[in-house]
Amino acid sequence: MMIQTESLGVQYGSSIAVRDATLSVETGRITAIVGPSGCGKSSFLAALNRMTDLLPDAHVTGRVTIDGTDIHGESSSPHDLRRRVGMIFQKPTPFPMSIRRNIQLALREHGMRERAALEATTERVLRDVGLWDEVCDRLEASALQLSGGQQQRLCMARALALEPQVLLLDEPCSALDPIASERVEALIRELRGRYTMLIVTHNLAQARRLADHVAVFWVRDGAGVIIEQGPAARVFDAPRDPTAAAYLAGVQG
Amino acid sequence: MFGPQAVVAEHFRTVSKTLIWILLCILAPAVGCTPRTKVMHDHQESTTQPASVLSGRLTVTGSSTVAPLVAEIAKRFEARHAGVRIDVQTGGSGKGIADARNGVADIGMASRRLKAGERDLVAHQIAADGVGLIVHRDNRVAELTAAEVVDVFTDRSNNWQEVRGLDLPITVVHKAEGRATLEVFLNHFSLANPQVRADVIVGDNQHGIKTVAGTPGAIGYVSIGAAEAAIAGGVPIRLLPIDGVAATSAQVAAGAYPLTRPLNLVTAGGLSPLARAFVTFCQSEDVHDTVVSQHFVPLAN
Amino acid sequence: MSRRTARIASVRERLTAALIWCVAVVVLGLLGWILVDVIVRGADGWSLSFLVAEPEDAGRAGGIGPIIISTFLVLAVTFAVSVPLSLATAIALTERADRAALDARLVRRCLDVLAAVPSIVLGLFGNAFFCVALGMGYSILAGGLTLACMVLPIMIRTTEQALAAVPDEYRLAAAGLGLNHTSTLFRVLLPAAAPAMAAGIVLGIGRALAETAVLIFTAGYVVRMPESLADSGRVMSVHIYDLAMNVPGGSAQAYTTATVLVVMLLLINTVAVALLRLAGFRHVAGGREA
Ligand SMILES: Nc1ncnc2c1ncn2[C@@H]1O[C@H](COP(=O)(O)OP(=O)(O)O)[C@@H](O)[C@H]1O
Ligand SMILES: [Mg+2]
Repeated sequence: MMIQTESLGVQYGSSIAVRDATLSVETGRITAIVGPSGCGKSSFLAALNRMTDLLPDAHVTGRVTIDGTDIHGESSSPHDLRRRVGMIFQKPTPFPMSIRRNIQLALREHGMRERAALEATTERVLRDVGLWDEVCDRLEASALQLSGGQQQRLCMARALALEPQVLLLDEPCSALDPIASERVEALIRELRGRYTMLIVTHNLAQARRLADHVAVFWVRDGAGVIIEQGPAARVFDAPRDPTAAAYLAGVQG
Repeated sequence: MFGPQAVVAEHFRTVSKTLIWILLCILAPAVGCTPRTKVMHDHQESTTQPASVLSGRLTVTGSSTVAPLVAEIAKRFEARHAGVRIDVQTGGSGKGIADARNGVADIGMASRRLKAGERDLVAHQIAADGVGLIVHRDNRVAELTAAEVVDVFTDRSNNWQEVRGLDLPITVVHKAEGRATLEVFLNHFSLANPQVRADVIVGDNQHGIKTVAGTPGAIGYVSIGAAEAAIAGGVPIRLLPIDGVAATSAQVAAGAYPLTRPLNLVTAGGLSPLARAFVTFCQSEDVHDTVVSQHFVPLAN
Repeated sequence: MSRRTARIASVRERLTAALIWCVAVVVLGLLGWILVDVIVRGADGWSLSFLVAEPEDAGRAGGIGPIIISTFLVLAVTFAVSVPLSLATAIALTERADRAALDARLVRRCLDVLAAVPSIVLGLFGNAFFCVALGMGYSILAGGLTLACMVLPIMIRTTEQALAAVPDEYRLAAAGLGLNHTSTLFRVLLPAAAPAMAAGIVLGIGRALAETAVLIFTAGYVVRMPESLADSGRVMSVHIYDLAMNVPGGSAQAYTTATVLVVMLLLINTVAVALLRLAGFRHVAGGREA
């Protein structure tokens, strides 16, 4: 068991976004999180690397352990946690600086100073995301000059540079055109096994293509809950929850 | 693989951050200390030096009319006495008198006589400045009586026809409160400032000259030296005589022209040798050429 | 009916466009007129020696060498103080959980009041506080510090707006990479906000260069070449004012000095842009094109 949440709850002020979410994520596997908008998927994901700490009125209950350690425990700092648990957002967010600096910024922050090591890592992760051949001759160019799909892959490279164990992907393809989306999906598939990945997606076909495990979120009594989870094949072919069954069949949602 | 531009950018960032810190560190103590030690230093200098060799520093503040003249004189004085520095500052006659009184300045400058409440100070006249009434060059009126001037400035006459001129509305150009020429003018005609119905309020002489030159029906009052210089430079204005005396520098120097003001240096209490020497120099014939070149009238010794 | 509406809409659109063009032309024309007027009148006295020589005959002859130096020194003091201060204040106002907290609102209100203080009042304050109370006398230091008080409100406001305009996504993305608050601020947010902040500084320089009332009472009137920040030094705007207002026959030199001032402003603007490029901030300014 790599990531384990126990009765995880997220609330903003008095409104509850996620209630009682218990989920196990296996090492090296891809877990897809699906469900209609506003059912707490992003909130759930944000709780896993303590991005919820940044939202002033967000409050997290329950327990999250990664490799057995409680992420809210005394010994764990959010900065180290976020280095180990990378996050990719729906909207590509390269910083307004050069491609090279986008990747090396966090590396320096986490203690890598040697120029040779920095350059080697830059090349490695850009190759990993298939961007090296496209940008190797213009690493000094602004990252904002890249296309949307390239920007998203740069963001993934930036996260991979920190050698995380887990990648949280919050609708990584939904702001991209079909071809760029296809490339990012292919990239995720290539990274299977090397990283434990949780991906939120609205694209059920994509979830079916990618996921080893699936969790379906739904709003019940004004809060997001997990109504169905399990191995992808089982969830898609024989869902137990009738709402989930209808949603996955494309009737609802 | 590491481009030169990246290196430059990196250095620029480090350098600029360091610079800011250094500047902060320098400025923080400088705010408190530097000038104060300097002032003390000067005092020591002026007390320990023998009186015959002039050295040290003087601060002269006050009238913005007198300041350009005194600054020129100070430059000449500094050239003759290597160890002397004279800083001339402006801010108006009022400030000159206040600064001289409370010791902020060694010498004040005022472009007016001292008032009754200022008898604790000593005025040292260095030149005279006549205040002359000016009208546009095309204005036909040759002279106004004192009563007519009062009528014009209090709006009892509002057209040049009423004072032997053309059918043209009168534009009264008045000075802003606090101007030395304003006080000279009001005193001479026994007017109180609120009585004056001004159409235009101007700051100083040049402003007044420009306004009158640009308005055919205007009348105003400025320094005669400034007006003469402007007329010589082709500006379309004309000086009106007062009580039958032509408004010229010569008449001011001769003491015949009534509407004049003294340009004074003002001091309080005991003068340092340096201050005394400078005041004497300002009143000497050595600086008459400078006085004339500033369009003022030197004193006949 | 719909055709009619469409036609009216198109007429309105054209009218609006024409109006905008008219306004733009008027504004540009006015600016051009002022510039040409100043430069044409000032061009006569323009020479290299004018830039280095000392003024003679109350400024009617000679040049403005010491005055240019004093101006630069005053500006240096002003911005050495106001840039870090405004940066710190803007960060304190922006980079916090609650941007509308009481103390933040209070600080903003105070800054608005400070911005509305007429410069003559600020000049008298600077004279009383820096020159007299702190014993600096008429000095470049006192002038620069008073001027810093004057430009602080605009500089803080532009810096604050620049920081607030940085998308929150950058903050989240930076946190997602494990950057702490300080690194996020210095490595991500400030670089992203730098061009707008630079624009604020250039605006501040513009205001500072034009300021007369503040400096006549603080930096002073002395035209000697300054030897230190404790010396009094006349800045260009004061010189222009003095020549135009107190020195008969000084207006030609006033225009020449004004020309130098205008050219200097243009130069500072250009240099600021160039420096930003060199520092790698072109990534924001450049945008997506090229
Ligand atoms: N920062 C926030 N502050 C307050 N409420 C929020 C915040 N983020 C999300 N919510 C609310 O929490 C609920 C779940 O949102 P979210 O986790 O973004 O769902 P999803 O990602 O499934 O669309 C929604 O009702 C949303 O309005
Ligand atoms: Mg979401």
